Amino acid sequence: MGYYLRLWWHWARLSLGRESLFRGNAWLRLVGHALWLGTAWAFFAALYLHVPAIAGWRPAEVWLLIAVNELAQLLYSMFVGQGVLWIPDLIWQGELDSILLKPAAPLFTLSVGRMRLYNAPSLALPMALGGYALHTLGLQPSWGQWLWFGLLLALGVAARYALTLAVVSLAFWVTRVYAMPALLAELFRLAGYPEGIFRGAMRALFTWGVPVLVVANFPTTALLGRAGWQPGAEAALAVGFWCVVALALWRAGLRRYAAVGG
Amino acid sequence: MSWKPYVTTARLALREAATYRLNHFLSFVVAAVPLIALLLLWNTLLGPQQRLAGFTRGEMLTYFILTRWLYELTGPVVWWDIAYEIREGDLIFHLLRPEWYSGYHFALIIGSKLPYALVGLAVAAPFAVSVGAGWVWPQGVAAWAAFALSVVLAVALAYQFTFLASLTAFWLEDNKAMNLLMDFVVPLAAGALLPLDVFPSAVATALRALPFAQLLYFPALVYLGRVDPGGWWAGVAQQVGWLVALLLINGWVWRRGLRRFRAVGG
Repeated sequence: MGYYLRLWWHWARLSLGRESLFRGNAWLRLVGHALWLGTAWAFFAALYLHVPAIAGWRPAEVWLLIAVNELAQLLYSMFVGQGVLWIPDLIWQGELDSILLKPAAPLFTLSVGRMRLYNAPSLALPMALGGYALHTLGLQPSWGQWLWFGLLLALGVAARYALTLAVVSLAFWVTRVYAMPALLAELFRLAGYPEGIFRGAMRALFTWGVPVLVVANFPTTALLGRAGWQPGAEAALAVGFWCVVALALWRAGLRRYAAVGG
Repeated sequence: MSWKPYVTTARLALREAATYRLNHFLSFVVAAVPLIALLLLWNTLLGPQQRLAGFTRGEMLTYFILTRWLYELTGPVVWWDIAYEIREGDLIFHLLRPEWYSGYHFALIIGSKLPYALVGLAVAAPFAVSVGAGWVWPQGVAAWAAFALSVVLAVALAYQFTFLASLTAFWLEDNKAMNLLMDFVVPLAAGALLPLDVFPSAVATALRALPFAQLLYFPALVYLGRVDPGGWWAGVAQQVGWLVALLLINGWVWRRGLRRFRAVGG
């Protein structure tokens, strides 16, 4: 365990060191995230000029949802999102063996070996919006709620990771899966919509099939004091299911992998 | 000037793009995903009889499905090929040929986007069917012709923005800042995010005055029949006016850029 922590720390320092050479990029990314958050805010703010609530969600509740969604997307992209998308290229180029030969679990190396910690300053944006939303709502979540929120947020990030790993593992069998991760990225953008608009079969689909609601809606309900045990159970089951599928595909793919290099 | 080389370029690009039909299909499925949430959202917000910002449920859903499809044709981007050729010095090969550089890339873009647009229709069709009787069709041949002309002009206008944004490669090391503009500001101002009427009236008025509204919002309103003949002539005049202005600006930027351009190859 200590060995993996040291490795993680080493990669984290490398990621920060590399990016410190391009400080202008960090500012541009901050602007990009601000624009993204601003666009999402403008979209809902314009709608709230015409309706008092959207599927039972008041404006400040949606600001909180937007903030939590951005937080989840940033955490995912900072720690594992970039690494997992690297897998298809390594498979197609026959370079996965360079990872397999390293003295560490391949999935660990692939997942966290390409962290994007330079997105860390952007975390301030959703935190500020979330703080403003909580203040507007007059909410002061208890420590228990914060803990529950943290757990659900971690499950949300894990859900996205597991589903993406399952999809990119298809690269062992299919020559081109570029459109699939892009499709997943678009689907996970739906995480910023209030869960009330997803009803019946759609709610089931976006909880179990593509666990979009797990990412931001479930953690947000924890902060709003609406989350009982049910969102946690649903999130844990969805994440567990997709982890099993992703690992099965990954291991089966590794067994048929044949690097042809020179 | 002969059009034949440009028609041939467009035909070759079309043939190449048509080879990857599945890729286009998947790419458009990706682009259509937000429609799922938008349709669910608007179905929640609007009952069958209600209106929002003057739009009925059918008009609003038609607007979103139509603009999602249309924006793939009329949405300006930073065209990677142009930026790459400028930065890498490959532009020199084009300068040595008897060709109109801007026209060459316009032909390439048209050729590569046409199959994409056709496949996009197939992806958008189920969404349109889901709207049911509320789906809006233009009334009569004249309405279709008015819509078609506004789209043609929007495509031409979008290309001028694309060319201008790509020419920044003469001065900028990378496209990140321009991409931010194209990914966030332009869609908002063009009406891709929401019909401009949904915004506060002062914001909507300001956005309508910008050329971006002519890329998407105006053709979509023409399709929905929400523009009277006078408004159509005014809109088309605006499109032509911006088109001429951008042609002049692009010509000036192109000449300035060429003065900076240095191709050092081997």
